[in-house]
Amino acid sequence: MPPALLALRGVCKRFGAVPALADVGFNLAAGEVLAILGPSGCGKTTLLRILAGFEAPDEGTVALDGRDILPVPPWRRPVNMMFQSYALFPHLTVERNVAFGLRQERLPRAEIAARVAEVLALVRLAGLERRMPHALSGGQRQRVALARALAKKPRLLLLDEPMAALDRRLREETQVELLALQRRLGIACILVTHDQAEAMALAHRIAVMEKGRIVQLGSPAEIYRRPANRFVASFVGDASLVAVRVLGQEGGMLAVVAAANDTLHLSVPASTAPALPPGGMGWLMLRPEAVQVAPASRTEDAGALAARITHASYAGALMHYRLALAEGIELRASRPAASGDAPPFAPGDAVRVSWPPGAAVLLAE
Amino acid sequence: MRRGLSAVNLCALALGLAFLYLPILVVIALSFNESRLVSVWGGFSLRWYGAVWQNEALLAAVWVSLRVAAFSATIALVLGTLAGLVLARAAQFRGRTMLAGLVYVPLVMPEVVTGLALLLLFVALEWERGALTITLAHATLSLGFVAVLVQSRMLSFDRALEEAALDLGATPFGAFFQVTLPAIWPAILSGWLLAFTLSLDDLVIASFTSGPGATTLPMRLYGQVRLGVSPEINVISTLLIGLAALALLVASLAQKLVRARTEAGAPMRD
Repeated sequence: MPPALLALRGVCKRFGAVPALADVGFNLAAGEVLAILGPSGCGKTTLLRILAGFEAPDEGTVALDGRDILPVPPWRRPVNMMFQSYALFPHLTVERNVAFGLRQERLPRAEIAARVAEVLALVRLAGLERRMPHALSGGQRQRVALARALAKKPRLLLLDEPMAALDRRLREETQVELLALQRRLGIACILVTHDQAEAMALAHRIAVMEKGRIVQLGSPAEIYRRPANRFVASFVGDASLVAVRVLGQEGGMLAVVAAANDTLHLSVPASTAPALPPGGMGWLMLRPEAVQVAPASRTEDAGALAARITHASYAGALMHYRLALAEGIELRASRPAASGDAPPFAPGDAVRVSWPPGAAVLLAE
Repeated sequence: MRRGLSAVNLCALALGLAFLYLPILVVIALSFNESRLVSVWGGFSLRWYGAVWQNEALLAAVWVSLRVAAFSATIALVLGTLAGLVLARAAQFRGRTMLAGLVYVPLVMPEVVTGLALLLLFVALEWERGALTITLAHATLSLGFVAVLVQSRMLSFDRALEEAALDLGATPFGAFFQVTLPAIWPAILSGWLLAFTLSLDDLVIASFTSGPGATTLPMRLYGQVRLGVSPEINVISTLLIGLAALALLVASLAQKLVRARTEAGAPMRD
């Protein structure tokens, strides 16, 4: 395995009595995109500021290319950041903004001009060199900020909520472009975001943070299919969570019973379940798209459970349902709205629900 | 709504402007008076402008005043800017409240007290009083004004801009001169002009801290008025008003220039 480009070990940071980061550690490979995902106040911005050099951790090490970078001030780190507000210099033209970092290195004029032209072409801003930042649209500003960071050819690019200031349509377009650009340049990125869709779309791996800790680090699919705990399950994508008590193992399956209703027996594959003793409490997680809904009249599926639709909403391609499985146990289901097999259900309809055996995941907490 | 001014509004505006500027207009008009008697109009003349040019004592006072004002404003600019930056930036440090208090005290301290205190200090230090002591005294006075202006400008300055400069390889020094200063220099210039005017205008502190051979213009004028108002005083006053107006014009042009530069190019919407 090649040595990691960036290695964090046991990074801790406190602001007064409030821990902002607690024992954060991970490796980043060259060319990899890691998304740090979490709600506001989870410490993700502090982590980014430590990498940029604006904050120093109280404990832990940060090594880039095997060298400790904590003693290196921000202006000497081969790390560049794209700020959430973009932080374009308002008194400088687009061209001078992009050239700013290169001028600090006192490169020859011709080389600066060539590099600026190159990155401006890369972000499709050629022709706007002489514009002032306030005369640009939001999307153009974002691309100037990106070009300014890329011009320095950093070893590591930090993106602080890169899409937060863009409207939804522009955001999707920009994601596609950013992804294509990153794959082409092969530049390692750390992306901080609170938007799980953005993290999934852009990152090779996602680190989900809660209260200063990384609670799960894995590929987007791992995080989505096998969330480490309730927080991850509900923060990344939609999930139904049912409190359950473990009964015991039967064959390859772990039998559980709903905590709110002793008669509702369910099972999950034992191979993916956490080690919980019989009688232990946990949560059963189901993604809405895995839950199949059939009319109550169709009884051939032996494993299906009786349920009642409590809420139905139309969302174009999908129908979103809320189902009462028993008293106090709610499931969510998303079914294709236009599928020919069955007409959409209405609130009050009695239905049967089922899911593939592997779709249910047991979470320890 | 009706555009333009009603008779009442017009009248109020005229009275207000007259209240503010009539005394000044009288001084300007009388500076062109032929007559030796200040209050009697003897026809238009530039005679007293010529006389001022010959009055070496008065010209010497003007020269002292301008020098003191320029030097004290420059000292106040450097120190006041530093104080303003620290007060706006450094989040919390020991004695922050005290520093803020100390910087602002000269703003509200009665000038007589400041003047007396400085006099006692200079006497205790056995410094010879003259242009230098007045300059230091005026810098002390106007430092606070510069600090207030710079601090309030810094509060609306986006810190991320400085961090972006550091991130792109600028040293803290480089970031200040390349990013922060271009954003706050109109405030610093306003501070300098304010300090300059305060110094030019000051009589009380200058009287306390001056010595033989360093008579500022306000001191000279005040001394002369006690002996009777001479038409030359009107001329000097008119010239001072012209200077102040020019300074104001420069300050507002500078602000406009900055705005025009940042707004060059056609604005575009998303």
